[in-house]
Amino acid sequence: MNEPGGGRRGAGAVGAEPPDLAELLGRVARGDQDAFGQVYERLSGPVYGIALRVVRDPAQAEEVAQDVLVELWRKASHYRPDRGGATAWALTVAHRRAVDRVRSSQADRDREERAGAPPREYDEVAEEVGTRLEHQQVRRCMRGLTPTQRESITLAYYGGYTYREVAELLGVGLAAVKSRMRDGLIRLRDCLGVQP
Amino acid sequence: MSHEPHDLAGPYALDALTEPERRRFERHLTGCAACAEEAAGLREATARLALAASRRPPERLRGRVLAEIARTRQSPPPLARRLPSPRTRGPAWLAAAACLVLALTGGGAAWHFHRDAEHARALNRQVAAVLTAPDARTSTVSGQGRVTVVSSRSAGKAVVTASRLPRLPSTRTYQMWWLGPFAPRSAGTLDPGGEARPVVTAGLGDARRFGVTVEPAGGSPRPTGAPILTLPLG
Repeated sequence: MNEPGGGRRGAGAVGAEPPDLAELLGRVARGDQDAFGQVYERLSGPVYGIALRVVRDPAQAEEVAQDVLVELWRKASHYRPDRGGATAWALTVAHRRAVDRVRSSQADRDREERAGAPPREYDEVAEEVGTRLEHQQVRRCMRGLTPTQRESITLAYYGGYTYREVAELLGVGLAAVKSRMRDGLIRLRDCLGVQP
Repeated sequence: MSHEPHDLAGPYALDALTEPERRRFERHLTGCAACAEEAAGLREATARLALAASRRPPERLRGRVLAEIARTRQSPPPLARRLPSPRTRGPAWLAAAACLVLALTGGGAAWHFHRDAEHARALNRQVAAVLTAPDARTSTVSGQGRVTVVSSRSAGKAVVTASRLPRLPSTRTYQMWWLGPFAPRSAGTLDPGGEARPVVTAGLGDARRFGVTVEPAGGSPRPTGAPILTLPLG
């Protein structure tokens, strides 16, 4: 993927919490459609990206992304700054919706296929510089996990599997999977330097 | 079934729980501040996994979403059940916090349907900021009604709740004052209006006491009568 020629090159677009997403959500909660347009600019990429990553099918991913973005409009007043960052809140809404979609019976057939083939590694992203840098940092930190931690987290988050399903797929016990997920995320959190 | 719900922090942050498990774990979080904090931190990490997967959506999505939101009614803010953050719990203001929460839920209907939802949210944040200040102090007085003041010198603000104050004619209003070795400074007017909702007032400075007077509607630059009540400030 080539670097885009446009203005997002360089600093400012990278990863961490955009400074005023919380404020934008506050305006959205008051019915401000212009503010929602800015929220769309910020979040449509990650929302669509995670939906595509989890559900795989572009048409379904688009539906999920639309549902999620409308839900962000509808529930902007539910965001609580004292409970964590605005980006994490919004992307939790997105990820849950994507996971709900693949866990519904309609997607059973796809699940069979996905169960057979391990999820692709980070091979299909990075169309903007910010995304590329984010992607590189996350990949670097994911490399710092043990292979079993990485595998558990990848199957659960990008594959949309429950921890019980992950345990089944990997042929290990539930306790082992739970602690791999938790320990792996703690290590990832510390490596990325994120704070609630 | 897990006997150690804490173990589920990882699967929870990854949305790798079933719906009933998730609900159970969230109930656990409401009673465990450390767990809630850990879960929030892990959520920040999983959000980065989503950011790293970012893809530009098809152009048509924007038009569809904007058209749909234009005809979609927004959901009102949920009424906060727990105002104070669990992180800085301290006995000094716990009673006041409980009292304020009661006041809030008592006046909940009015507050909940407040027309300006964002105002309510902003107020909620301001109240929480004072309540969770490490130097928050509480004073309460009962008599003609009940007034509670939680003040924080570091924040320079106080949260005031009043309930059961006698109704005033529309030409009169309750006004709050900062009192000390200086001329009384106005801390704003107080509208008990039936529902007890908290007021956040700034300008605490070096005030020693807090007082309430009855003034002509709109308030006065200085008190025109003796306070109906005063409270010491911590």
